[in-house]
Amino acid sequence: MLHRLSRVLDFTENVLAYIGGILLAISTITVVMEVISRYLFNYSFLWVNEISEYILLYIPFLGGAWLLRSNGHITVDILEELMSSRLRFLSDILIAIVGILICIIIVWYGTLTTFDVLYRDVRSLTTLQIPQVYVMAIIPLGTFILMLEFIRKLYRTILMKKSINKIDTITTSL
Amino acid sequence: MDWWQVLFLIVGGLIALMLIRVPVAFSFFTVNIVAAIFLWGGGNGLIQLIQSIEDSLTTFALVPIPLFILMGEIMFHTGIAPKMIDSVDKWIGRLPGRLSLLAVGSGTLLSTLTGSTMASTAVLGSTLIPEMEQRGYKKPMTIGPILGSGGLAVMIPPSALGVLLASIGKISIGAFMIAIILPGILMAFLFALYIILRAKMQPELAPKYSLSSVPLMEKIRTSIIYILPLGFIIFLVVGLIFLGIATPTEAAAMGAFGSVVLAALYGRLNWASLQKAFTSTMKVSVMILIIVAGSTAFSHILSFSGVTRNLVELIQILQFSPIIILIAMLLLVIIMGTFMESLSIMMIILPMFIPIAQILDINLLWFATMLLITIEIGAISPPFGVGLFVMKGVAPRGTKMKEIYSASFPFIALDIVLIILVFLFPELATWLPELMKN
Amino acid sequence: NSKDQEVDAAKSDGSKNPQVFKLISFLPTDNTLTKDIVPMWIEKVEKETNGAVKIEWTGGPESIPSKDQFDAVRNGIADIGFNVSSYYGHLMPESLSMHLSPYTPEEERENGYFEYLSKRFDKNGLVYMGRWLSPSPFHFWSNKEIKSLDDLKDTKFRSNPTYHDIMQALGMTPIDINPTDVYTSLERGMVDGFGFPLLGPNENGWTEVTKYFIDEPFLNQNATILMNPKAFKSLSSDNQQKMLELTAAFESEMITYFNELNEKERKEIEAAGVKIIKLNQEESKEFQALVKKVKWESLEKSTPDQIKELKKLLYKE
Ligand code: NA
Ligand code: NA
Repeated sequence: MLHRLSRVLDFTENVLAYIGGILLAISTITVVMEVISRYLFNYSFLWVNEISEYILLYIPFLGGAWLLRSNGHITVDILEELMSSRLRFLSDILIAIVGILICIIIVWYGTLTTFDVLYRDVRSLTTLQIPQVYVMAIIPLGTFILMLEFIRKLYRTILMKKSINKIDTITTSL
Repeated sequence: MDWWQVLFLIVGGLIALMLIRVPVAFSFFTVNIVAAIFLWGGGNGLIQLIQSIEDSLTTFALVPIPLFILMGEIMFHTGIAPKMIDSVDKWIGRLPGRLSLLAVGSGTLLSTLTGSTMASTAVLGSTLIPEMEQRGYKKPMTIGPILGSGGLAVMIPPSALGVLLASIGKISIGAFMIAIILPGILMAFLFALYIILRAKMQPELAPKYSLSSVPLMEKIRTSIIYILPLGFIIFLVVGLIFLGIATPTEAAAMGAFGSVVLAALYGRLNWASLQKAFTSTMKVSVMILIIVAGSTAFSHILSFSGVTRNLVELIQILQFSPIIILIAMLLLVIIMGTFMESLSIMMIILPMFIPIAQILDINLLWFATMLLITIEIGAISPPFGVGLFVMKGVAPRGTKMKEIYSASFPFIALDIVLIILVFLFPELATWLPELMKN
Repeated sequence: NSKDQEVDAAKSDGSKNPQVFKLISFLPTDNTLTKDIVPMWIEKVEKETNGAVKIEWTGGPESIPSKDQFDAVRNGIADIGFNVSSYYGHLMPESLSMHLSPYTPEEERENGYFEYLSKRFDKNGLVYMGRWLSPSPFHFWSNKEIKSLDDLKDTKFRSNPTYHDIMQALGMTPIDINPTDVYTSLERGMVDGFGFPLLGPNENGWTEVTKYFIDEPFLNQNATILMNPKAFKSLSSDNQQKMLELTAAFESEMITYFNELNEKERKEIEAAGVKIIKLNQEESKEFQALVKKVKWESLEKSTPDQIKELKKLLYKE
C-alpha cells in the first residue's frame, strides 16, 4: 500500500516537473513570437509578459517537490562532515519536521489567499483579465506535494535508522 | 523589542537553520513565517507572506534567469559549448593555467551576452568544469576562476543589475553602463594575472598537458565552424537590443531560442539532449527561484521592521569623514552580501545610501561602480551567495560546499583589490563617461 | 456615556502615550513624489492631534510590494497607506473611476464623489481619508515629433494597463516593457515613446533618451490616503474628526506644493533637452473625447454595477 502511494507521488512529481519544462518552453516561444510579430507586423501581444511572469511563479512550485526528492535544493553542508551519524539522523528528522510544518502553514494560508482571490474575483488589470485564482492556486498546490515529499523523507529517515539498527544488532550479536 | 534584537533573532535564526542543513530556501521560509507572525500580526501577516511570495516571482525582470540557464544548458548538452571552447583553446599558447584563463576569457566573452551572474556562472560552470576535471585541474583553479568570471557578467554591459542599480540610484543609466566597462575589463585582467601567478607557483593545481601544435588552417577551420556562429548568438542577444528590436529581457528568450536553432544547424539537436537541457534548466531554475521567493520576503521583513533603517541610521549618526562613511557603507554591503542576495541588498540599501552619498557630495558614478562590485562580491562570499549556490548546482556531484567556499576567497580578495583601485583612481569609473559627453 | 468620555479623554491624552501608526507608501521614501509630501501630512497629523498620534513611515515597496499595500492596510499590517488606484484597481475596479474625475479634491468633497468613495472603500474594509498627489495627469512622451493624432498612428509606445486601451484606440502599438528596460528601449529606438505623468521620467533618467513631451494632459490623478478601520476607530472621536479635517485642509496645501513642483519639473525637463510640444485645439479636443470614451467604456466593463452611479457623479458632457 505504502509502496503504491510512494509510486503515485513519484509519478505526480514527474508530471508536475514535466509541465514546468513545457511552460519554460512556452515562455521562450511566446517571447520570441512577440519580438518577431512586433518587428514584422507591428503587432504586440500584450499578454506575453504577463504569461512569462506567471510561469516564473509556476516553475519553482511545480518543480519544488521533484527537486527535493533528489535532494537537489541548495543546502549549506559546511557542518555535515562534523556531524556524528546520530546527530545527522536527528537533524534529518528535524529538517523533515520543519519542512512539513512550513508546508502546512503555506498550504493553509495559500489556500485561504486563493479562496480570498476567488471570492473577490480578483483579475489582472491587463487585456487578458486573468482571474488571479489560477495564479495563486499553484502556491498551495505545489506546496502540498512538497509536504508529501517531506513526509516521505521523514518516513524513510526513520525506516533507514531502523534497518541500520537491525544491522547493528546483527553484527554485534555475531 | 529593539531593532538590533530583531536583527539578531532573524539573522541568527536563519544562520542556525542553514547550519543544521535545512535547505536555504526553506530556512528563509521558516524565518519569514515566524517573523510574519510576530512582526506582521499573525494570520494576516502570513497572508501577506503568501502575497509577497507571489509578487517576488511574478516579475518580468527575472525572466532572463531561466532563459540564460536554458541557453547554457542547450549549448552544453548538445555539445556545442565544449567545441567552441576547444576551438578558442587552440589559439591559446602554453600559458600556465591555460584552462582557467580560458574560463576568464570565455567569461568575458559571455558577459557581453548575459547580464546575470547566475546565468553566466551556470553556463561557465556546466560547460568548462567537466573539461577542466578531465585535464586534472584542481578545484581552486576550476571553481574559483568561474565564480570570479561570473561577476564579469554584471561588470560588462549588458548588466541587468547595473541598470537596476542606476535606475534605483537615480544615476544616468547610459553613463553608468559606460562607467563600469573599464573596471570590468580590469577585473578580468586581475583574474588572469592571478591565475598565471598561482599556476606558476603551484603547477599541480593546473597540470600542463601535452599540446600538439595545431596547424593554422585547422585553427581557422574550427574557429569558423565553432566560434563564428557565436556571433549569431551575440547578435540575437546584443544586436537585437542595439537595433531596437528586442528589450534586454526579451533578448534572453531570443538567445535561448537561437541556441536551439544553432544546435539544430550543427545536427546535434535531438530529443534526448533537449530533454536533458530542460531537466537541468528546471533543476537550476527551481533552486534559484525558490530562494528568490524566500529572500525577497525576507528583505521585506527586514525593511518593514525597521532593522535596515536603523542599521543605516546608525552609520549616519557616527559623524565620521565621508571617506570613512563610504568605506563603512561598502563594508556593510560586504557583510550583508555574506548572507543576502544581490537584488534584495540593492532594494534595501540604495534608498538610504544614495541620499547619504549625495549629502556627502560623493560622485555617484564612482560610488555606484564600487557598490556594484561590492554587491557582486556578495554573490560569491560564503556562506550564502547565489553564485556559490549555482556553482553547487552545476559542479560535479560530490563537490562540497566547503571546497566552493575556499575556492571563492582569492577571487573575493581580487574583487576587493579592484574596489581599492577604483577607490584610489576614480578616473577608472569617471573617465569614459566624461569622454562620451564631449 | 460618561465612560465613553473617559475613554475618549484617555485616548486624547496622547502626549505621554501617543498612538503609533505605521504608514506605507507605494514609492520609496526618497522618491520625488513622496519624500516631502508624506512628511508634510505626518507633521500636520502629529501637530493637530497634539501629539496623541505618532506616525512611523515604514517605507515603500521595499517593505511591502506596491500591489499588496491595499490589502496590507486592510488587514492591519500597516495602518495608513499612500497609494494610487493603479496598484489596487484589480481589487476594487470602481477605484479606477478616479482617473475620470474632472474635479479637484475640494470639488469632490462637495459634489458627493468623496462620500461615494468613502462608502466603497468602507465596503472594501478601508477608511478613505483623502488625496495626496495632485495635479498629476498622464502624458505622452515621445521621440517622434507629434503634431497631430495621425502622427501617433503605428507608433510603438511603452505602455501599462492605464494606457493600453487608449493607445489601441489611437492605432498605436502599446508594448509592455519592464521599468528597468525602458531606458534601453528608448535609447535603441525599440519604442517611439511612453506614457507617464510629468514627474518621474527625469528622475528615472529617461529624459536623457526622450526628445518630446506632449503637453496634452489626460485623465486625473488617482492617489489616495487610506487607513485601517480598526486603527481609525482606536482614535478618540475627537481625533478621528481632526484627522479627516486636517486631511481635507492638507489637500489644498498639497496641490500648491505639486503645482510648484510641476512648474519646476517643466523647466528641468527642458534643461534636460526635452522639447515641450502641444497639439492644436481641434486635435486636442478630439483626443480628449477619445480618451473619455475609451476609459468610460473600460470602466463599464470592469465595474458594471457601479457605472450608473459613477456617471451621475462624474460624467460631464
Ligand atoms: Na554583461
Ligand atoms: Na554571499
